[in-house]
Amino acid sequence: MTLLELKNVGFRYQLSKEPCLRRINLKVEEGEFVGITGRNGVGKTTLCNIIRRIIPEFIDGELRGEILYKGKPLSSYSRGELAKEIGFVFQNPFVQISGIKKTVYEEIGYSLENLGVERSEIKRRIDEIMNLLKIEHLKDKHPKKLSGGQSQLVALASVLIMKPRLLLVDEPTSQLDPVGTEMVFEALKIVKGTDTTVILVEHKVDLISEYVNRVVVLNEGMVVCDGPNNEVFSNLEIENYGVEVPSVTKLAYELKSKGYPIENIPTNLKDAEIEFRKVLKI
Amino acid sequence: MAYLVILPLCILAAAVDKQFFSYVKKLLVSLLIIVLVMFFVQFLLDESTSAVYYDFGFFKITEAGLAAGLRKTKLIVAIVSTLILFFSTTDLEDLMIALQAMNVSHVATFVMMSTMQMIPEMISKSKTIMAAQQARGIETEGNLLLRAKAFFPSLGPLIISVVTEIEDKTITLEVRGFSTENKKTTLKDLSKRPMDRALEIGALVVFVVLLIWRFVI
Repeated sequence: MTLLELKNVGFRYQLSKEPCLRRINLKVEEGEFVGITGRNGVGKTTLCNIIRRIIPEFIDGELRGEILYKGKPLSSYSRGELAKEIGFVFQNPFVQISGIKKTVYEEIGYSLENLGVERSEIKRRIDEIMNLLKIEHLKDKHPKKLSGGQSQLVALASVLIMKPRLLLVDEPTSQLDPVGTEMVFEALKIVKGTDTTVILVEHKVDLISEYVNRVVVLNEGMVVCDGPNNEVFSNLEIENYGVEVPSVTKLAYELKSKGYPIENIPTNLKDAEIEFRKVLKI
Repeated sequence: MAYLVILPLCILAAAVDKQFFSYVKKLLVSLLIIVLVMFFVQFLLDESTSAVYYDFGFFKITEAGLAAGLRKTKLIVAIVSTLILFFSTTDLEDLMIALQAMNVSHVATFVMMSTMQMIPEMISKSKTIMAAQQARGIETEGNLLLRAKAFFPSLGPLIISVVTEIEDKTITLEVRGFSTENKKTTLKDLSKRPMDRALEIGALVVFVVLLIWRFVI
């Protein structure tokens, strides 16, 4: 079932002469884990803001095209309905904290307090989500005294607890160190195991190639590549759009150019291990 | 009344909540200078010939001056001491929950709560900005003039960062379901104990008695 569909979506910020997005056509099926990548300034965050309807609710500009969520125009959903349906985790881990709760436990429960969920159910779901993301040890910590990675995990938990059908994750590791990055990707791996549909915007191709099923490359506000992970990331043309292929893919092409009989160009570590063992006979 | 009843009662209540020293410190910081200045002005303005307790030459501490000082400061002392007691002994989240239970809008309680939280955050942010200024070679320590010269330019980045954060916070709240129109629930149980009820009724009785005493008798 198609969960989200964008038809000829374009957007121009109020004070900008040039549009940021032009004619975006994108269909996301339920249960997919889609990675969106592209060089800086191509409109990835703008696209997330449009899907979550932050644009035009909070950010002014000229929005064109049609956005359908579960077959209905996105604009026909109330703000409350959208909060329940579409989760959004954004770049800066430190601004996603409500600022009014004293423990991580309460912070995660805040989303459900807003939705009017009963106290016993809130407690059950906090325990469930903390257990799922393996963050029970943060339970009594103050939300403002967490590291970047921990804050991002709490932000993720605070959104996931609302059980959104669609989760938008916008460059969750752009402000994190390698340890924080790994923590967040481990959590996303867990999310992948649930039935949540995920759209992940990320620069780090080595990481997204490990997790996503499908990759969309944006360039100059348009979709220039869209296909299965191994198809898009093994295509060297994406480098013309400022997106590097994953390191294992580069290595495979390098080996192939040296005469090694690489049959399937790998785009993630698991496939690379199989292919390289086969070729190197180890 | 302010000095003999309200102030001692507030100090006693703070002591019961094991906050005696911090409460007295807050009281002194916020009240001492203003109260002393007001008394001083009263002594300066006092031209009565009432009993003189001490004569400094250019001003005298007189009975009438003291009485006028007490009269002028009683309201400030009563308001400040009770307000400080309230915010020292009340958990802001409890206050928010209690207000929501009284049907105060969750937007209003959130604004109140986050404004309170914003003050320490702004202080910490200001320190960060000052440290950044220092790292760029700007002198931030020394005499008052030097510190003022460093402080005022830091207000620009401070205000801009606060405004930016407000924008981010708005989106955060939107994502967390703040704008849903249903009745909000709370994780924390704030049901009243018999002692709370007794204090509530007791306070109401005292309030009514005081009103009668003030306006009827």
